[in-house]
Amino acid sequence: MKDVKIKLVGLNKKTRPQVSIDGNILQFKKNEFDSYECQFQTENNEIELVVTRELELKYKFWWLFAVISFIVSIFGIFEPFYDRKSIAIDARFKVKLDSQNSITLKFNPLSTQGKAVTLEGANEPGEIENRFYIDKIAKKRWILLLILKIMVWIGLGCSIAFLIAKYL
Amino acid sequence: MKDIENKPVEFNPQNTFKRELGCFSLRLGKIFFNLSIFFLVLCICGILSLISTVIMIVFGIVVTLATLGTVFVIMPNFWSNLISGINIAGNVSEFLMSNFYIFASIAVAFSILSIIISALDKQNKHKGKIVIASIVLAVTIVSIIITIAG
Repeated sequence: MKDVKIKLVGLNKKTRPQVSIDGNILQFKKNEFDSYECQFQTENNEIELVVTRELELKYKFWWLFAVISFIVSIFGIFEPFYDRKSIAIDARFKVKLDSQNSITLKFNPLSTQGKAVTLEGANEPGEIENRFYIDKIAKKRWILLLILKIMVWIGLGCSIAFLIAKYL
Repeated sequence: MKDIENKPVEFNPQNTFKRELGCFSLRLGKIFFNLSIFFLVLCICGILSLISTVIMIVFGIVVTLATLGTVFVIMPNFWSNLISGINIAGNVSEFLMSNFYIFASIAVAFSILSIIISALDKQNKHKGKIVIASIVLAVTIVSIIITIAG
């Protein structure tokens, strides 16, 4: 069995990466230095490391949770904003393994271009893809939510104005 | 490894519902945090609004004395406008105080929920939010005690 220790550094609260090895999503724990660590064991001589970014508006039930949070937050007034830029990460590496491996993934600040992560500590990492890009589906959903919110607020405003005019 | 249409490998939410719920619960925690502060402000306004009526009366007297009565020449309806303003402030004050315990209990509930949700997040630590929510909780409880005692 080959031990793989993976460390994530350079993360902020917005990044929320999802790291998987050969299709298995890894669960990380935060250490005292504000980086995240995980240990993984495999029998393979080579692994495929995939890094993506969690986007709330890409989930299956995004519409349901958006409606619930809109209502609970009193028509969106007290609701935190969804990610406007919808920046996604597409990073894939082929890594050859020794018996003991320590891999560090350094995340760059979110941007619309450039490399998403820097991989260190691996034997001859083969970079398949490594970039930021704007997720068009998440972006469209964000715009749709914004339009719906504005329409609801206009409707509410008109209703309140009508009620005030009627009863005063 | 791109598919045949050369599209990138996208965020593939495995164990989707659990992760979605986790993400959604964090969003709810932030909403509850914001709402707890809002309802705390309503509670404090309810207590302070009793003072505002007095302040407005004092303001009217001070303006009248400071202008030696000439305010009634400049603005003949000054005192009637002030009294109507006091009436409105009184109505608002009555509404806030009559619903004080409702606002306070909602503020307490939301602050407790936001503390719990923030504490359960294993990915990020929300120290600031937990501290502020705790302060909101403490201030609300103190307000309730003051109102009951007063």
